[in-house]
Amino acid sequence: MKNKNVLLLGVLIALVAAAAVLGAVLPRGAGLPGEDAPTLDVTLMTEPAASPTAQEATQEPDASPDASEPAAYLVVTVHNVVYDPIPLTMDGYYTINQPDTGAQNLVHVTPTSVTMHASTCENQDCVGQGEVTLDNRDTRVLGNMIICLPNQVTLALYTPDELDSILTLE
Amino acid sequence: MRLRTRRVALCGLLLALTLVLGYVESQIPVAPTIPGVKLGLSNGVLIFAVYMLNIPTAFVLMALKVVLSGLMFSGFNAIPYGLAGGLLSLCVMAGLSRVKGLHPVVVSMAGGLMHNVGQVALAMVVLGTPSLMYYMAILMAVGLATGAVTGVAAANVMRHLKNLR
Repeated sequence: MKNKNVLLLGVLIALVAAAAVLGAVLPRGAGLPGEDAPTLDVTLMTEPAASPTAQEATQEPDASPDASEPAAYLVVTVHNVVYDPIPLTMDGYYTINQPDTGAQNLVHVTPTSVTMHASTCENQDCVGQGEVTLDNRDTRVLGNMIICLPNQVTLALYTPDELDSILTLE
Repeated sequence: MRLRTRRVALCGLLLALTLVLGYVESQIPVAPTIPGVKLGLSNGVLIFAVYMLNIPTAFVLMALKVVLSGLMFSGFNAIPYGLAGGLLSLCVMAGLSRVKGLHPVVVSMAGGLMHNVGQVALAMVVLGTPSLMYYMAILMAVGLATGAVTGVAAANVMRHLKNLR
């Protein structure tokens, strides 16, 4: 009688352990861009705006350290479409618009981190997931990702090395 | 006839109970830093339905709960995820509940685990990111714990209701 319970418990714990091992072995992060990944049509803004057309890149370009290589890249996935990595060079906001559904996500970026600043989704889980930085992404539950399930938007923070190794493999 | 009326009333009561529990638990932050973690209190009601009523009733309760709470509280987008988790969890619990010698608490733990597997698996398919595996492992462990809590609650309720009959 009791053995069956213990056996089932053992099976369940083994399942969790198997998933944990798989999770540790599998590469973490969202989908990765291929060679012909489309470019996301977004503009960097210095102020969070409700609409991307309201204010566009008002910051003077001399403030951006464009000359040096960025420390991190943002890879955005919308509805299973992985977009070309966006180099993070300065503080600002990106608006991801989905005109067909009206969904809108506002992403705050710094040279080393990504945060979902606002979203039109109902559960606001993505906003609650906080920021991904180059330092904390190995300890976060969701790794280098921020996920907005209702709007099907995934943000992932990558280092240049990671993207290099992936793109040369293909 | 009287039996039928009693049964309809009981199902209505249980459905109302799952909806209220679902709403109450949405107000309780268990682990705000981990998205998707909740107590799953309505799982206790399903355990009760699986053991004290019958399996088809449990499936109807689960489907109604997910659809209604999606419409009322959690939003339309939550319905497919609730159904994925609920179906997988209930299939496993229904099967295990008919195995002699298994304690309801252990069955409930299996259900809690499978609920989260179903939900994250659907998210993996929708988002196309198999790398949610690590997150799934954490949610599976969480499901074991919350399943134990709701299982103990349901087992105690069932023990006392048996005496009432």
